[in-house]
Amino acid sequence: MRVLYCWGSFTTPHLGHAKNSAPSAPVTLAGASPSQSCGANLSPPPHLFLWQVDGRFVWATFQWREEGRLYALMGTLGYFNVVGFILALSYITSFNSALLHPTIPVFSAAIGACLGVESLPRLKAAGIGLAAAGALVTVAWGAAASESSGEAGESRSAGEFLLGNFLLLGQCMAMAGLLVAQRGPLSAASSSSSSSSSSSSSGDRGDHGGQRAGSRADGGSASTLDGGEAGSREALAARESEDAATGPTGPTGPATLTARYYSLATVLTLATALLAVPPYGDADPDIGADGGGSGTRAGSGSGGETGRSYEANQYDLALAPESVLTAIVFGGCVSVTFVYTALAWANQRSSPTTAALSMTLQPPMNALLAVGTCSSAVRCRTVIAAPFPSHGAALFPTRPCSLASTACLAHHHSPLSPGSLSRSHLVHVGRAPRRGPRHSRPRRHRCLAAHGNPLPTNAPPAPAQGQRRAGRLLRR
Amino acid sequence: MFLIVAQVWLVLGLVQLCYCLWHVLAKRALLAGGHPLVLAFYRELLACLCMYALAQKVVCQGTLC
Repeated sequence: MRVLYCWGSFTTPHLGHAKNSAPSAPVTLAGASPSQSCGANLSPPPHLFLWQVDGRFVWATFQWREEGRLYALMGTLGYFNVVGFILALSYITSFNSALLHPTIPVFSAAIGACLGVESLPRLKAAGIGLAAAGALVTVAWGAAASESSGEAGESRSAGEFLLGNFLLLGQCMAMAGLLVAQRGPLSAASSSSSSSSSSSSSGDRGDHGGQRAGSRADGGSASTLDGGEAGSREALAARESEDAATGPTGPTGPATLTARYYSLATVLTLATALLAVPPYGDADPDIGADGGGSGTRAGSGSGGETGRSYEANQYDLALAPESVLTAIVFGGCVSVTFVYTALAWANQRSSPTTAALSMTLQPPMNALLAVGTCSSAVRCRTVIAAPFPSHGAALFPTRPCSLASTACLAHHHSPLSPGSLSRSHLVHVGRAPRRGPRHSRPRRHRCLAAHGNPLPTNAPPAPAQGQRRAGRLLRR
Repeated sequence: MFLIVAQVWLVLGLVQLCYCLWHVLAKRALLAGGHPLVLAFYRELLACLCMYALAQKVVCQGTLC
C-alpha cells in the first residue's frame, strides 16, 4: 500500500461531494507533485484538497493576496506542531512530553503579551514564570539523569534528551503561535456569526444564502435593519446578488480555517517525509537514525527482522508493525477528530477555562499510562517538577477573558468550536454583573472588542423594537 | 447542573486520556521502527480526511463553517 494508494482509496468514496473536479488550486498541484514523484499511478487523481465545506470548495473563497501570508504562517506552525512533537518523542519519553504540554496556553499568553494583543497582569506573569521555571527544572533534572531513562530499555544521552526537550518546547511554541495566529480569523468568524444570528438565524442547511448574507453583514446587522422590512429585503437581495456575482468573501469559519492550514501542514509534512525518506530509493538501514535510532528499534517492537524490512520502505503500511498502524489510526481518528469534537462539545457546555484546566490532568494520566504500558522510568524528580508547568497553566483560567484560556480551546484543540469564542463572550457578559465593579461596562466592552466581538468600546444601543420586529420578519 | 458539570469533566478527562494514549502509542510506534516523519504524515493525512468528512457531514449543519 503506497502513499498514493491511500490518497486514492480514502478520497474516492467522497468524490461525489466535490463539485470541482479539476485540480485548480495551487495546493492541489503542490500536493500532487510530490506524490507523482513517488512513481505511483495517479488514477484516480488525488482529490484531497477538493473537498467542500458548507457546499463550497474549501479553497474557492481563499484570497491569496490578503490571506496568503497568514495561512502560510499557520500551515508552517501546524507543520512544526505535528512534526516537532513526533520528532521530539523520538528522543524523550511520553511522560516528559505530557509534562511540557500544559505550557502551551502559557506560551500563547506570553506571545500574545509580546505582540500587544493581551495584557499581562501580575497573576498571569506569575503563571508564566512558574511554568517556565517548571519546564526548566524538568528539562535540567531529566537531562542530568537521562543516561538510564527511557522507555522499553532505550538509552538516551544527555544531548539527545536536551534536543528532544528543545524540539518539544519548539512544538509548544509553534502551537501557541498557531493559537495566536488563529485568533484573528476566528474572532472575525465569531463576530460574523454573532451578527448573522441577529439578522438571519435560520440555521437550516438549505438556507446558506441567508446565512451568508447575514455573515457578510460585517457587524452591520443594525444597518441592515434600519430601513424596515422592505429595506432589509432589498439589502439582503443586494448582498445575495453580490454573492452570486463575486463569490462569497465572508469571514472564514473554524472548519474551513482548520481544513486550509491543516492541508498546508500535510503538504509540508509530505514534502519533508519524501525528502528525508525516499519511498523508492535505496534501502538505507540507518535511515531512521535521526528519528529514533535503528539499534533501539531493532530490539523492540515487532522484532528485528520485521523492523529492518519495514525500515527499507517506511511508506509501505502492509509491512508496518501493528503498533505503527494502531498509532496512525488512533492519532488520526481519535486524537484529532474525536478530541476536536469532544472539546467543542465540552466547550459549548462549560467554558474554555474549564477545558484549559483539564490540561493539568495530562501529566498524571500519562505517568500512569507510561508506567503501565511502556515500563517507562518515571523519575521522582520529574514527578516533583511536574506540577510547576501545570500550576502555571492553571493560574490562567482565573482570568476569564484571557487569550490563553480562550484561544487554548479555540484550537486546543477545538477548531470546530467557533461557538466557543462567542459563547465565552456571552458567558463573560452574563457573569459580569455578578462580579460587581471589577468588571465595569467599559472594561467588558474593551474585552469583547479585543476578542473580536462586534460590540466596540462605544457600543451602539440595543436595536429598537421596530428593528427587532424587522429582524424577525427577515428571519421568516 | 451538577450532572452537566460531571458530564463535561468526564468528557474532558476522556479527552486528556486520549492525548495521553496518543503519546504512548506514538512512542511505541517509534520504538517499533516507524519513521517519525512518515508517521506524522500518515497521521495528518488521516486526520485531514476525517476532519474534512466531519466538516462536510456534521459541522456544516450548523454555523460552524
